[in-house]
Amino acid sequence: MKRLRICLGILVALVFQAAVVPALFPRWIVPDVVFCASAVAAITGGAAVGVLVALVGGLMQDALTGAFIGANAGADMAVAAAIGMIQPELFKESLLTPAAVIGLGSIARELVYIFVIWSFGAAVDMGRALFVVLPWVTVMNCVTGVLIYRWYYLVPRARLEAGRAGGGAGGGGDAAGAGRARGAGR
Amino acid sequence: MNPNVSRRRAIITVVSVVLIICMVYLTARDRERLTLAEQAVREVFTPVARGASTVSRWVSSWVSFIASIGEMKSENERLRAELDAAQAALLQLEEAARENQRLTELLQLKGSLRGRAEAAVVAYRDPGNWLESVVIDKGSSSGIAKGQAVINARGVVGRVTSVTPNSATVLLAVDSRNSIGGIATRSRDLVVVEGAGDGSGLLIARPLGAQPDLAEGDVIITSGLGGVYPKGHAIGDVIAVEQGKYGVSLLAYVKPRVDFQRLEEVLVLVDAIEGDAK
Repeated sequence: MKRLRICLGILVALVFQAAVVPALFPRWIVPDVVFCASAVAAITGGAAVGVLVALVGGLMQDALTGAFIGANAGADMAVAAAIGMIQPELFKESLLTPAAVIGLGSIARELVYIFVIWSFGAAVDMGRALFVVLPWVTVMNCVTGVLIYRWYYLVPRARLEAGRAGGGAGGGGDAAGAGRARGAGR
Repeated sequence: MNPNVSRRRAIITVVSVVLIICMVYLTARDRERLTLAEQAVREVFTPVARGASTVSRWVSSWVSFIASIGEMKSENERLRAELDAAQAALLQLEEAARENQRLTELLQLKGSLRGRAEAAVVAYRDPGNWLESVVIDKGSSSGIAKGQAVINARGVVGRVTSVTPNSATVLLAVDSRNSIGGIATRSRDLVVVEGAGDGSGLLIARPLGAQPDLAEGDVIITSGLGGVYPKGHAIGDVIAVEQGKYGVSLLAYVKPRVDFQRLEEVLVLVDAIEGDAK
């Protein structure tokens, strides 16, 4: 069930990334929602969860592209693994943490991806990639990642704590969110 | 950390990296067929994405539409102003084209005359309802004098009745005070053509001969016998013939060739006798 929910979540992220954002904002650089989700998963749940989300999401993204299968997945997984390694040291109660981690992670992820596809013969306009796409993707990913982090981690956690402060009377108001928060806090 | 776990992780990492590199390598070039997994992902994703895209575009277009209402209003006003200006310019161009055509015709007519002719523009019409006359923008300083014939490309317009140095009054052929010596081109009957004077804009041709032969469709031209109008200029076409009072005379109603309601440029035949058509 959990795997199905992860797959559905990734599908929604892909739909958002591939269909909704380009239709709503045609000339905008599209945020990498799958990467943001895997980074948030890595920040909150550790390397294993992050790498799993990155693997599934990245492969689905690659499958939709039809070329360089594994490049997205590999780049996402590498960054998720790296985030997972430093995850125990992170201060998770501030939005600045995911913003900084996802920002740096985006730069690393895009550089890895560009390097991989360039290594296997893709023509990459390095000037545009480094000075246009990379900065904008980083900004967009920061914003998107912070929103996901808040929705996935901070809000359920705040509800959980509010429930606890209320003597447990209202603690079951968002069982799923509380569960996510508990899981994330491990 | 347990060395076994650490070793296992290292192995998994290495295997993953190798697998990914292989996959990227194998799929870096164009492929004829996608794998079943890719096909399945696409089959699931495509309709969902298409629906989401359609809805998003619909939302986006509505948001854009609402956001652009203010801009559209000012743009609409600007475009209206531009359209008005363009229509005004178009009217001016059409007017210029019409004027050009009329002047060309007038020039051709002038070239076809023996004597000197002075081109003039109708300055204004008689402000009253009773007199069929116009005032042209040239007068005695241009050699125009009382009694000279006035024509245009279509035919006889009238004659000059008074002049100032820079203007002249032209009594139109349709005025009942005007008499023009004419001839029917078919029967060669001489006629006197006068304005009907009933507001119909028609002329009445009165034959001079004892047994006139006038019929509907006959063309009446100037005879050159009256001393004012040179010979050979069209006056009009007979549209009806009837017996006069007491049945002893014949009357022909003539529709003038000249459109007196839209008279703008004319030629004054300064050398009246020499103004015959070549």
